[in-house]
Amino acid sequence: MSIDKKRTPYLLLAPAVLTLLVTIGYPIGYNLYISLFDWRMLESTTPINFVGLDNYVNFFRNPDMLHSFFITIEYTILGVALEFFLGLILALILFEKTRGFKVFRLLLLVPIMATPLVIGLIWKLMWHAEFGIINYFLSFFGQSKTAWLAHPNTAFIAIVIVEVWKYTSFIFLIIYAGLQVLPSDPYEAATIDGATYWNKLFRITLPLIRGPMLVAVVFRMIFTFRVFDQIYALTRGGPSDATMVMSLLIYREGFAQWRPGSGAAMSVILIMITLFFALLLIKAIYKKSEL
Amino acid sequence: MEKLSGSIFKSHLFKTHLSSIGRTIIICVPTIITIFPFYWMLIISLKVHKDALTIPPKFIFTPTISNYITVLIKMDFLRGILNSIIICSITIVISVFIGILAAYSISRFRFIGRQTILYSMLFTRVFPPISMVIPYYLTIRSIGLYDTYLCMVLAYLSMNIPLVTWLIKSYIDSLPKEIEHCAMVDGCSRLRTIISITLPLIAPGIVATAIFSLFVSWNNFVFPLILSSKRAKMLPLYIAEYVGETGIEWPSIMAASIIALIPVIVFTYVVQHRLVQGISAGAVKG
Repeated sequence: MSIDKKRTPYLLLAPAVLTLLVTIGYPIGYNLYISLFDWRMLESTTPINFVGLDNYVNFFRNPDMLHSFFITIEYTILGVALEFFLGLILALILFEKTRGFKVFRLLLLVPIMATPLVIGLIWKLMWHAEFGIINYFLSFFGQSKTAWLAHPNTAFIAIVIVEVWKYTSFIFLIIYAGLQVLPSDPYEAATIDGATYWNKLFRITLPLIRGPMLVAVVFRMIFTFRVFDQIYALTRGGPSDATMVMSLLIYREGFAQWRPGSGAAMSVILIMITLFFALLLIKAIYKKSEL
Repeated sequence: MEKLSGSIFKSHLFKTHLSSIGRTIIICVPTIITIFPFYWMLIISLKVHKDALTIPPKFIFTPTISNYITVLIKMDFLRGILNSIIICSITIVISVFIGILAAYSISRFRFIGRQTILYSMLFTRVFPPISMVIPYYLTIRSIGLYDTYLCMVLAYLSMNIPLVTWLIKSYIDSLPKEIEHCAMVDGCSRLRTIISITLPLIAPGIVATAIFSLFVSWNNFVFPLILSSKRAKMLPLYIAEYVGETGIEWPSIMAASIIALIPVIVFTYVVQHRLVQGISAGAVKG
């Protein structure tokens, strides 16, 4: 009985662990391995050369790759910050009873779940210089036609707007859910002491929902940092690399330049960043021995 | 946990000097912005070719389903739909089965290495698919699995098993252990207890989990883009390839996009109450 009991949990876990070892463990190992080689698949005569950490060093030396790295950071910080502020404000306003909230909530959920590629395509059309509805709306304000996705600066703004449009409701929903389970005692005490709305907001509410806020932000950062589909549909990294985020660069390196070694090094860097955020998430969610 | 959303509590919390109607008006603004692109997509997909992209746009027109017919018949799109359904279904069945076993183990047993398993599950839950594709591509090319259902399912399992395990774990966690103990004291084996007590009780949760698993595979674009070209080609790749073909056929693309979004919208409606938990599985406790 006792031996059996000790084995059972491991046996139950075995299929999941084995599948994940094959589907995730193996690619991590393979990435680490080929990231040490200079491998140019298009030049079939060149042998595969062992170059040590050159691919990693090159990533931080090559201006294009470094540019992509910083673009991704900029995109993530800007996108998540906007999502956070809009989502927070919306959650705080709507927290009180709102007529028809359930219908609105359902409608707000749709973009989060919608296929990112499809979202990229509809926005590509909406940003279009000639046929785009956005230029049409802006023409009422005397704005002349802009080819949003054709200029580096406006293209970057455009992809950030799509990101914020798609995921603000995610942050809104998590914070809203956090607000639902706040204790009422501190507010009663504060009201008796004559605290204003803003006092309560900054002294009680925000500190109390720090947990959900942190989780929502870190979680969004993980998924924003690896963005691929929307931008692939919108700009494919252009114009002149203005929207070439890291995922698109990995794709280009691996499947357009056919240099898997360099692409694998970037994959490893992306994995490390994800791992860092995942550890942050664990710290944010689990205190001490709560698991 | 009892939700403290009584009226006394709320009145203490936020006296924003806004009436309920005022808030409704405020929420209308983001909602309209949110819904507009979908509305626009639908409108364009229903217009005849020459009207579709005119500026200023025609808001009044006779709708036509000709774009949908074009997409479904001419463009081999049905095959994409079928592939998507088959690959997603196989993935869901396997990952729910494997996920239930793993989740039960994590939730009900305390064993050495449990913490490590939990942390790795969280890490794999947020693992970036794009960083797997180079190893995947090189490997499946060399073992001849390129463009097969098998390689697509394997790739999707990597994303789905951690998600499913986290979700089902949270459902099992929410069941009191005593229910199972009673059954086992009455002479049920553990397996019997799981099948006849635990699983029926979390059945709604399992359905929701399967739907989230569907979202993950259905919406994924990175894997089809790199691991398939013809036989195992799924919906998003078909849509993406229309863009690349001679000139952009916007009305057809919009029709195809609407078709791809229909299950997403239907299932979002079905799981709306569990959505926060679902999309943040692994990040938000229970």
